[in-house]
Amino acid sequence: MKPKKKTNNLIYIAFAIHVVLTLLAGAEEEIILYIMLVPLAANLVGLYFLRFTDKIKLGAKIFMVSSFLFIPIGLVGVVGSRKVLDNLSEQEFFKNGGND
Amino acid sequence: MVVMIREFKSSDTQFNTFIGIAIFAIIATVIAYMISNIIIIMLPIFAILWAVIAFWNKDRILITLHEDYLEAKEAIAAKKKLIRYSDISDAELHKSGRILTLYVRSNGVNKKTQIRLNSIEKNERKVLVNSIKSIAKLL
Repeated sequence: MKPKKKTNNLIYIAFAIHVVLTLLAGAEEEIILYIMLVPLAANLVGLYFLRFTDKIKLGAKIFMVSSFLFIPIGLVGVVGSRKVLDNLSEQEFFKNGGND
Repeated sequence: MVVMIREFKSSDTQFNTFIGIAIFAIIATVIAYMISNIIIIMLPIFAILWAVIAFWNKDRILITLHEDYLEAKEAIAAKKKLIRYSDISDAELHKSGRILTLYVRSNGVNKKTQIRLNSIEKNERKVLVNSIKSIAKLL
């Protein structure tokens, strides 16, 4: 079986949208910028784990939870990280021959 | 090679419901504007969101019966469930016909897995349950 990709385009698109959204909202009210920087920083941490470490599951979960705070547009990030988690469980399923 | 036996797709009813919600949000935007002369920004965003979800979900494969396992992903952001038929000890359809409970043996432990069937056409739900039961030899 070919190795699955660690990240996908949805995650990068979601992160870009979150950055733009934070900057747009922050331009109007400074306090909103600081509030939105928290989930954005969590997004970045998740992306770091996904991209540069082997802790893919942790990274995807951090990215998913922090994307929830950007809903409705955060749904893109949630779907992206869910895809990563699904790929992992699929790999595990076929490797172990067991259930999820 | 993975052999696929049958696929169950999302129903047209679900698509129509989501589009209905989007249209309702557009109408609400217009009415709110006519009354207060203000566009409540969340309403058109809500309409776009539901329209996007409706088209994203249209004819999406929710449950696939493969040769030796089934694959279920009820919603776009839902967890994908992979279950081997050989591990299914029982299958039960809720009286509402909307939830299928599978009793699965996993690593020596029995656990319950629920699959929501809301998005599948009503007449296909029983076909699905009977197919799972017959493949898993529960009938």
